[in-house]
Amino acid sequence: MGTGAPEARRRKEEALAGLFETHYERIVRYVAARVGRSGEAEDLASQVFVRAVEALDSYEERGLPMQAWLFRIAHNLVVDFLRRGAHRQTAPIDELLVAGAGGPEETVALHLQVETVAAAMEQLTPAQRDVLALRALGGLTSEQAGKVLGKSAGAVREMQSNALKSLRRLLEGGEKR
Amino acid sequence: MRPGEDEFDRILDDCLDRLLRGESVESCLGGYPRQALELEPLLRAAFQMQRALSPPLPLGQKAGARLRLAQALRERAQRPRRRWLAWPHLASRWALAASVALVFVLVAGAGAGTVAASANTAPDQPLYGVKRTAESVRIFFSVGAESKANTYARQVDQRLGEMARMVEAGRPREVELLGEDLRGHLERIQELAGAPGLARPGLRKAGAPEQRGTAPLGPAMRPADSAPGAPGQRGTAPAVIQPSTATPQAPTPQERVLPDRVAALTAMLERNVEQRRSQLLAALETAPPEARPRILRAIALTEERHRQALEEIKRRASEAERERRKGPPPDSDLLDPGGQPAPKPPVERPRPLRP
Repeated sequence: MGTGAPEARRRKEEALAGLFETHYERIVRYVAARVGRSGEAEDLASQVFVRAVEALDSYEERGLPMQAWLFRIAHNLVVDFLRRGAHRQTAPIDELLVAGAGGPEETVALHLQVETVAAAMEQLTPAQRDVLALRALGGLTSEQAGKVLGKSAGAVREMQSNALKSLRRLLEGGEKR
Repeated sequence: MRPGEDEFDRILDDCLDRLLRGESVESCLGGYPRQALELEPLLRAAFQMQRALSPPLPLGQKAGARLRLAQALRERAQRPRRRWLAWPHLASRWALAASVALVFVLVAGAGAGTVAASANTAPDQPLYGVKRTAESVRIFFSVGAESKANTYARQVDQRLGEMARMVEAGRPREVELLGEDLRGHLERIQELAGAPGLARPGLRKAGAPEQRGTAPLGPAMRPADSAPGAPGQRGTAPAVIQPSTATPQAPTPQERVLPDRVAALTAMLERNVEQRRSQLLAALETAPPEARPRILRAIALTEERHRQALEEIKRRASEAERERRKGPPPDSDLLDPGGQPAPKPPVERPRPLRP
């Protein structure tokens, strides 16, 4: 190990700990939008950082920022999770609501809103859900989302456009019901 | 833009980025008046989705995940590396010697109050140097390995307490420096718990000069081949007769903590770190967010070093005990003129651990 290695290692660890502070919530939301259950989302999000620590030595930026790398780990964990228990793919995501609400009226309103959005999201294709979750909940750029998904930024933009058009139709349909 | 890509997709992407940066839907639409009609429902759908699926997380959930991360970082930490940080005011051995003399004068004379006043100081306070030098003096005047090891163990606890205060104050560099000092104390304890010849590669060999921050070598820290009567040997208990075939670096019982006392020593270290852990993590919750990543890493590293040091202390103690039980190998030098084996060294009797 050269003299620069401990310093590089220290920098990576600090960067990861920094991203935990700024991105943990985003990763929980991304995962929750994919797996549908908040408890499992929290557990998976926590695992994302543990996996990242384990793989930190192999991480080199090379065009993939660390936050995108974390989402790639999250994406892989989600794919594995869904593969292990496909029945959970359609689980409701309205459990996310639990913590955030204030008074009873606010809780009911928020619950309805979450239910509507969750129902619409569940009707999107997995790829569309993935793109919207990475962009709108994970806060990644389309370039970064493309790196996570192994697609070009242009393909992500196209998929995102189609996903939003579908989501809009589904939300309008849900509200009319 | 790639050839053939829909211009509208690019505009929508730009608007989405702006929404994520906190701009309003109206502001985004203002930038693209010709596409506004088509853009608006899509941006509102994105906004609705983002708002609905981004509620605040339950309190304490992030703290739990932070603990898991800290644990993972701790497990990742490798064996201690060489020190690369130092308290500037404690770096020079000459400065240290002068400080020891100064503190001795202060303690003996009218300055005892200053030393007492420094007892609860932290690294960001003016009297902290006095506190550390007074600690070095205590080590210097501790007689016997066990007494020294206990003094170092108390200093480990002091460092952990100071770390918690520096965490609260959001001073990551001081937390790291204290972690390094703590490692130094633990290394000294390791050496006192086992034979100098058992020193692990990468660690300072027992008896080698201290790099910083600790006292001049006391009796237990002297190399086995130190000249008799050297100042550092003051206060050494009478030497136990060793077989002539013993390796030059084999410790006398006075040079290391007796194995049966090591258990009490490690229990004290474990208890202290357990108590300080919750204090450190509570302090982390109140630390400035920008300082947390570096602090978290420093805490994780410190915990891992502490764990490794405890294991090493136990290992060395049991190895030293095994060596002791084996006794001297058969050798003609050990036979008395009548062909009988030489008498075994006296059996060590357990002594009570100093408070």
